[in-house]
Amino acid sequence: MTQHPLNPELTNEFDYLLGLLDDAARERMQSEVLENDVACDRVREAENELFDAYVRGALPARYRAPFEQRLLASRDGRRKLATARALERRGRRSRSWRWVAAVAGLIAAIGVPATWMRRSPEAPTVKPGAPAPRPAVIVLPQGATRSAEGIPVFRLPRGVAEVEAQAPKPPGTETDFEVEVRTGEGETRWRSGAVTAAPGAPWIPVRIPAAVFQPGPYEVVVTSRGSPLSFHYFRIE
Amino acid sequence: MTLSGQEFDALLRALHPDRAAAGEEYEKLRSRLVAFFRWEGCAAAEDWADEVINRVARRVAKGEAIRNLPAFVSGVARLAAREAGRRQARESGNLIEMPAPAGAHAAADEHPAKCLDQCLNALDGDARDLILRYYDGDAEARIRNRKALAAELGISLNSLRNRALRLRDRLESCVGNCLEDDSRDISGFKDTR
Repeated sequence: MTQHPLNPELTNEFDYLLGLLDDAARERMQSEVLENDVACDRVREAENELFDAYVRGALPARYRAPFEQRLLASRDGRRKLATARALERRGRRSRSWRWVAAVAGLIAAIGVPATWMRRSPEAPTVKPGAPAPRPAVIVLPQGATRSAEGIPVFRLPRGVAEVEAQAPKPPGTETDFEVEVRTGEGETRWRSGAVTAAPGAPWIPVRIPAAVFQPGPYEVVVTSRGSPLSFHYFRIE
Repeated sequence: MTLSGQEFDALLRALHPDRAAAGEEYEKLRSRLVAFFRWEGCAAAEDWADEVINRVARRVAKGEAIRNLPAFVSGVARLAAREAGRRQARESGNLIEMPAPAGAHAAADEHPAKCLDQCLNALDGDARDLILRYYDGDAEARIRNRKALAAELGISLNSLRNRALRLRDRLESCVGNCLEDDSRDISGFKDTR
C-alpha cells in the first residue's frame, strides 16, 4: 500500500499555503477561502497537517523550503509549531503505551522473560587478535514520555565499551540521520556523525561509546537534515 | 479610521436580517479574513481584516447596491492583500533581520509539552479525547481514525473537522500564551464547543 505523508485530498490547499499554485488557481482559492467557511476550514486543516508532518519529519522535500519560509517564520507559525510538537510527543506517548502493552501481552503469552535489554556477554577480556567485544544493545521504544514514570530502564553490563541503540525508523523518512544523546537536564553528551539506515530497514542503528552513559535519565533525538524526527527517553541504572 | 455605529449596523443588516444571526456571520467573516491575510503573509492580519470590514461597511452604509456581499468582500480583501504586500515590501527594505535570541529554540523545545498538558487539562474529558484522537498518527491513520471517530460521535466528517479545528485554535492560543508567560493563569481556558 502507498504511504502518504500528507492527506492527498488536501493537495490543492497545501499548494495554496505554500505559494505553489499558478495565478489563476491561487485567485480561485482566495475567493473560496474568503467566501466559504468549509473551504476556509479545509485550508486551516491543511495548515495543521503541514505542521504535524513537519514535526514528524514527514514533510515531502519539495514542501520543506516554502513551508519554512511562508508558514514557520511568523509568530503564529512558531506557536503552531510548538503545539504541533507537543501534540506529537503526547501522541507518541500514548502510542508507546499501546506498544508496551502489546509487547507485554506477547511476552506473557509466549513466556519469555521480560527485559528491555539484550545483554552482551560477561565483562570481556580482550585478547590480541580476538574479535572486538559485542556492544550492549538497547532497543528504544517507539516514543516515550520524558516523565520518570514508565520509561524503560537499561542496565549496562560491566566492561562493555559500546552501546548499540536501535531507534525505530519513521516510515517514509530519509536514510541518513544524526543522533544526539542528551541528559535528563538537556545537556548534550554525544552526537553522531551521519548514520545510515539500510533502505527499508525498520531500525536506525547507532553505536555510542558506553562512557557517555552514567546512571540517570537520557533523551535520544534522531534528526534528519536538521529536523527532529523522533525522541526517545530512557534511564540508565 | 474607526467605524461609526451606523456603519457597523448597516453591515450587520447586510449580513443577515436577524441581529443574532448577523453577529455570527460577522464573526465567521472576520475569522476568514484574518486567516486569509495570515496565509497571504501579512504581518498584521487582524488589522487588515478590520480594515477590509471597515471599507465594506462604509460602502454598505452609503447605500451602494451590493448584490453578492461575500464576493464583494472577497474583492476588497484581495485588493487589500496586494496593498499590504506592497507596503510590507517597502518597509522590509528598512529592516534588518534579527537573529533569534540564543536559547530561544531550546526554550521552544522545552516547554510546549508542559504547556500542552496544562492546556489539555483545562479541557473537559470528551474534548481532550477528541483532539488527541483527531490528531494522532500519520496521514493514513488519521483518515481511518477520523472516520471511526465521526461514526462514534454520530456526526459528519465536516462537523468533526469543525470541532477539532476550534479546539486546536484554542489549544494553540493557550500554548502560545503559556510559552510567553509561564505564570499566566490558564484556569480561564475552557472548552466552549
